[in-house]
Amino acid sequence: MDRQEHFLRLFLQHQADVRAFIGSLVREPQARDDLFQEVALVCWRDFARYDPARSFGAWARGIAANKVKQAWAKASHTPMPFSPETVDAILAAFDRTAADVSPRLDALRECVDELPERPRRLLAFRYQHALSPAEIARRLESTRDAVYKALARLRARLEDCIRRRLALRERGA
Amino acid sequence: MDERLHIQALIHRHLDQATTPEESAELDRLLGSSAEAADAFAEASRLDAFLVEHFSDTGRRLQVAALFHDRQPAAPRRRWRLPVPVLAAAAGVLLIVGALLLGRHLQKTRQPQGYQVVAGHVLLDGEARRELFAGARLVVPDTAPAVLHLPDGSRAELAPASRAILRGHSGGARQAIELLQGSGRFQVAKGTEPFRVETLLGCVTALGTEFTVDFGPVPSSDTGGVGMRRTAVQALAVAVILGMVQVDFGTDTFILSAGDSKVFAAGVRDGGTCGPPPPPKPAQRSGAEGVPPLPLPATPQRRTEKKKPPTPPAVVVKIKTGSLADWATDQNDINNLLVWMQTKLKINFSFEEKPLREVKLDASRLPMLYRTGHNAFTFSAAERQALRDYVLKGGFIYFDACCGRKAFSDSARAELAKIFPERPLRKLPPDHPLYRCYYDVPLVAYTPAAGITGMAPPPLEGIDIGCRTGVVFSPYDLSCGWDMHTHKTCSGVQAEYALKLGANLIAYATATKAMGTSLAESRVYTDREKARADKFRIGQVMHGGQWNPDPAGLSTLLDTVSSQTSLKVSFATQPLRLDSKDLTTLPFIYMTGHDDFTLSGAEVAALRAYLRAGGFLMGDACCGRKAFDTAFRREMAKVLPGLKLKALPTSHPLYSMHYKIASVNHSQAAIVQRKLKNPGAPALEGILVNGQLAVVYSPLDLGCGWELKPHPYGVGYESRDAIRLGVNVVMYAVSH
Repeated sequence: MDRQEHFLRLFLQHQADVRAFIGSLVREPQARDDLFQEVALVCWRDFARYDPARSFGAWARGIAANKVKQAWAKASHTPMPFSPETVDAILAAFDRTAADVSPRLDALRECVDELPERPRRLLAFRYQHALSPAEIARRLESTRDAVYKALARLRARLEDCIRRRLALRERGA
Repeated sequence: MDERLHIQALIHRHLDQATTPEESAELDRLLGSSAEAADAFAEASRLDAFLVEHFSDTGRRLQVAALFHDRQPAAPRRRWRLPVPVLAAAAGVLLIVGALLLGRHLQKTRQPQGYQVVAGHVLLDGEARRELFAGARLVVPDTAPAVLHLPDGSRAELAPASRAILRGHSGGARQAIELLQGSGRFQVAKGTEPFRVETLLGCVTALGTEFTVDFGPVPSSDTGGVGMRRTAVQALAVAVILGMVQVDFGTDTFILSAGDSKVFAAGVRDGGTCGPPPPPKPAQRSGAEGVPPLPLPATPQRRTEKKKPPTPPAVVVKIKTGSLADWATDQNDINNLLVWMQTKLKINFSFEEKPLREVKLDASRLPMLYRTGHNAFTFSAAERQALRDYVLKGGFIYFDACCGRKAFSDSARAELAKIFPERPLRKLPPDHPLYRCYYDVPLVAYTPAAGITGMAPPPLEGIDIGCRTGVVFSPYDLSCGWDMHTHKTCSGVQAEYALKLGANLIAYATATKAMGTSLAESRVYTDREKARADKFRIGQVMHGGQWNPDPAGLSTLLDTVSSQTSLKVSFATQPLRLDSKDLTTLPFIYMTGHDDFTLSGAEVAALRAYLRAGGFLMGDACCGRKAFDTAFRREMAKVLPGLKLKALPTSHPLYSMHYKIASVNHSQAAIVQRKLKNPGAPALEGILVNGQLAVVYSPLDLGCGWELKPHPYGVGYESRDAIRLGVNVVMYAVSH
């Protein structure tokens, strides 16, 4: 396997988690995508320095954390959502809770498919069409607070569903 | 509220971008101080990202289905994800594009000149027009799309209600279109200058590719604060179907490849447009500026404009025939293959499209000709002769039966039989360099219409010119794969494998060009004195396979024998069948080839008698081909049952007969493919008959090395060592 293939394999394996880490800190989609692109480039450029004994995901997330801090430092006119110490704490939490992504994604797909029409529509508004909770509220003739709560409940329900499915699979395996 | 629930609520508000500054500060404090809170935050963020991933995938799948109909999507590349905010708008655009694809299919056969509306309607100052001009500001009615043919051969398909200005040859672009509003699909013709689509937000520059652009307002909302303010932002959505494009957006530049799409959304701003920079603002001139300025520094402070890179060399000419429906149904095949090669392999080539009569068939300048089509065809006698000369002098022709059409296949076979009556078209063996010279493609997948399930050997057939294959024919198409599409009724190789085989074809054609042209000039030695009575003569065995792939090799070896030893040699080798009476008159016979062969019962018996009577046979697997190797071993087992070919030890007197050969250098192909060491031991094998060495066999090529010409795919020895080994074998045979 050549260097490029090795890198691609590792990066594709961990990109969802790197994206999740960036997304936890940077909520604006365009900025999030740009940062992800930058992190990918740095990972490729510095791949020679990657220590295979370490987790590639942890290494890439470390780069992402630095990139996020740099971006926040540059944009001095906007308040930083988190302090650098908190970013490090979140980074450590991602490392602690890191797990294989693909079974989780599979479980998520199954859990979403199980949802009734209305909650699935709500998720589609939020995640497929990227509508804000306020806009969703307007379309569903509801209130913003109700949408916030419904989304929070739905996410909690999905987390629970994923956990159950993964546990079932482990027992099955 | 329970502390854990409170943290969860804060995390969800953060994810929905709904936290107040106080709540953000509190979340910051909690995450920094509690590992449990940080873990919960990480898990919730992961779920949020996975939901984006899940729903983006769903959206993307819908778009791809709408965009491509029956087209196979390009190999998935994930350099860019489609940003979420304007997905809905983009999906609408791409649905329009899907409809436009149908229009494109209907109009492939028409190629008018200039700016012309070839389908739909275009309004100019409220009047419908069929012919347009540079500078025209046009509107497409909202009832139907319009298809424009541009002077450079490109095609623009504008969606209903689009507005655009035809900028013509502008700002270094051969054609530029300013899209004021709406969307379009652009099929860009091949050319050296770029093609550009300009919008207020940014511009898209392309060379010989296909892409869509959508420009217009999309709804957005601003939720920061208690109320909600709805606004409209301009968005530029670009989706690349084939090739690569460059998008200049603001001060940034993005490169998108086939399969990529990206939406660029922002408030309208200046500086995002392309073309030359705006003129400077008029400056206030004061009286002091009337004084001549100080002398300028001797070195210029600004770099001069970058020079245009030279046009890459044309590696292939695609032959045009009378009907577009014949040769151009895969309009972007070769272009797309070359773009793909440029992207994947960083090899930059160009191509040309010409009728055969306009092609200068000079093998030293043009490595490859490409003929594809659906219909039956014939060449004239002059064309056949020209094509034959081109191939014999080192050229390479690839015939591709588009959609596996039988009419084209039958014609190609018939014409090749007329062009090379002495050289049959044969299926390429599995170890042919074409299947591994760049990509290893021992097996390929076919389209459903081909009726070949699973992975199967590639379909290529070829005609050999010596050690080189000069003509390749595929009865199942590769061209649709190069064009990245499939039809239900089309028999071909799937795109992924077609592209790899295409890269191999081009690599092979270019690598063997030098070999072909130099072999075309090879000398074959002849005898000055015709008397042969006291001269050493060699017979060359004719067998069922290709028996004389290196016509100049043996005579070059004999020239060395003649000049380096005292042996009187006849350069005229005598072709003979093993069952001919002449066999007994020759002390030494040579046998080589590429392919499988079988000796008849009479030939087996004659050879057995010859070897038992003291005759000497030298076998040579040309180019190190496995098919010949297997056949030679099998047939020798029939000729001399119970006696096996055994490796000759390095101490064998043969290796010190004339030259002292302790080690040899192998060819590059042998080092790479057989993982042979360099230098290494020679690998000759032999059979003893009545205690005498009667058969010497080389499973690695000798004949190509004897020719003293480049053979990039010959698995054998370097020329010097091939000659030394050959001389020693001849001298051993003569003296024992």
